[in-house]
Amino acid sequence: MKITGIHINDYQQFNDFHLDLTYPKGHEKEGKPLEKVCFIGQSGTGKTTIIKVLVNLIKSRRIIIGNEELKDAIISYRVKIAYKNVFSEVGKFSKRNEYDLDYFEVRDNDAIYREEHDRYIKDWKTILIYFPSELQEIQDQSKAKTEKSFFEKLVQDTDESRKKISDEIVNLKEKKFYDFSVDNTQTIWKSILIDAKDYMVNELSYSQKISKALVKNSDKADELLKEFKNWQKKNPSPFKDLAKVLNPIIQRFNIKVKEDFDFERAEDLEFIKLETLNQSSVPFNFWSTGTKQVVLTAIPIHKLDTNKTIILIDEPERSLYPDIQQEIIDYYTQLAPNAQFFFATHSPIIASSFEPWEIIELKFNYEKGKVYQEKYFEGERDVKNYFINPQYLRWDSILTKVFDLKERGNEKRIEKLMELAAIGKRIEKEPDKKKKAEIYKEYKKLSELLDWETK
Amino acid sequence: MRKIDKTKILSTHYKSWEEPLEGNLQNHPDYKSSKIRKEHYIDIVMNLLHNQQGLCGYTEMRLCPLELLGENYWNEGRYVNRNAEVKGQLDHFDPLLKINKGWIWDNFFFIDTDVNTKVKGKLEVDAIMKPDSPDYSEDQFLNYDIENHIFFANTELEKGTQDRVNAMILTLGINFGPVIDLRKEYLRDKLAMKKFGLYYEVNQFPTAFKMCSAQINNTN
Repeated sequence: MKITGIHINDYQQFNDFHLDLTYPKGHEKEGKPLEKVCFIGQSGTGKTTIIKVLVNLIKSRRIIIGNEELKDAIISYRVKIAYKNVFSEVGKFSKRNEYDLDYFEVRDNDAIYREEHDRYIKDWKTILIYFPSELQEIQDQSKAKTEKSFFEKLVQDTDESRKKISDEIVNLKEKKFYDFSVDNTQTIWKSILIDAKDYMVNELSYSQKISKALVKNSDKADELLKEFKNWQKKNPSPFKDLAKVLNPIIQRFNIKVKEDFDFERAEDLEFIKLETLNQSSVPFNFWSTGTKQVVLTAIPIHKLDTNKTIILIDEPERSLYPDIQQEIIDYYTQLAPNAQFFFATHSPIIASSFEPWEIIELKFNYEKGKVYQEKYFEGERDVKNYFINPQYLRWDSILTKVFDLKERGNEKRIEKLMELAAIGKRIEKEPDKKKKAEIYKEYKKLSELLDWETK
Repeated sequence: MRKIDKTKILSTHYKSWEEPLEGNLQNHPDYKSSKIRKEHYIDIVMNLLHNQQGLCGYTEMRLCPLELLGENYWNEGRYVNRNAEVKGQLDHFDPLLKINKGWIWDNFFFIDTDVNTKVKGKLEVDAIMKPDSPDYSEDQFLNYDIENHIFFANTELEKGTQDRVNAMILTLGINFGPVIDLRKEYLRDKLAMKKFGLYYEVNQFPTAFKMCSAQINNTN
């Protein structure tokens, strides 16, 4: 499922507000839904509001998301939202195969629609993953811990425990909406633990078979060992798999995923274990906020089936140093290449990861008291008519040209630039070469403080 | 900041009201008086803009198209288009005079709104940089740094005078960040057109353009 447009009739600061979320004319993906969207804008313009509206609409199944005949069809919908968050207005939705639009009307409370909806999504896996900006606060340690009872069920081998675990598996498989403002990352962790237990059972079974064969027949043992290695190759341990996904980024924080787990103590399985690059354990309490941000978001995105998923991340830059911010959008999109991403950010570095048509800048119209989308093109929405591209700009230029920051530096900087210019004049006019060189030292020192800004 | 000649009076209706106030050395009516503003404000603004060629008195940003500045818009000392829309605000060069001499012609300049509200405000001023002062001359007082597009005091001046000029450059918003950016962007385009021998018109920032051109010519 991918969203190609949003229309808000009248909701809070949005009035007759329309967003085209397709690639513009002249783009190689012209008319297709944007693969990633980035909301920017002053505080209060409604970036988070739009994200939450999308989450609510998708969760409450107030949109049509395709039909069985058009399994991979691109989906478009227009949503009309009534005042005060009551989504009782008629929505206008479309199903489309390639570029043939087929709009039809659906009522919010239309039972037939809901049935249709449920039928369409029956075989779909994850439909929504939402990470709120306050993800870390919500997913604090107590919540991120797997409860002891689950661990006990997992390690016990009784009919009852097997039944309970089996129920958990069914629940996890049927879960289509992951809203981490209310859901718990533990849900994903449980599914990893179930996989890990299966993995260990298989591993144990192989080692038992190999041990028995070694006693009786060494050829058979060699054969089994080969088979075991092939199996390991095809089925990496869930923890090794997580390490492969997380380590490239968290190693920058001097930590890595602990790959060796055993099922002996409940505490060992509370949540993913991290250790320093020198293999000293790092308890959850000591994780940096940046680590938490990456781990808590990357695990669900990697673990869940994201083929038809809309992933919404509010403030992906939270607690991340600029070098990681530079990479984080590509990192997420590579984890879920078929998903459609929505981000809301205040970071110019995050914004630089997007093509200009993927950025939605919200602005206040102070006279009307409403919000509108700042356009980055003149005339027709065509690639060649765009006059801003954040990918081509320096960070400071993104701040002034995209984020509308009025000044490039503070007044102190301007004063020093004036001083530098005056020193430059003195050098020009000094006839004595020795004195010239002396003044130049002063010029160079100040230039370095000002980062040699020229042109 | 160009030298401004304010001697041309088109707003004779306002002037005939203001001059007796000066002659009698009496306090002016409240500057906020809506009645007086309605009567004289647009005339003062359009007369100033006429004298300033439609540019901000300090930064030389364009505030008003030239078409609105023709003398044909004036009738019996009043600007006929009473609802003319121009960007900017009326500034009292010396803010202290706003209290008792709020309507004095000599103290008025029309300037960019952001410069007025975010930079100059009620800051103390030094008359050395009053644009219509007989002693003021942009060529004698200012230098321009073409690399960073900022003005600075002419280094030929006495050190103390340079400090006074530099302080006023900041007070008058001539080196206000957004003004620098706008000036830089505008002049880069014009200077490139000049370099390639293309036709161009300079509609704002004439002093900076003049100084840039002189430096480029000297280099060549």
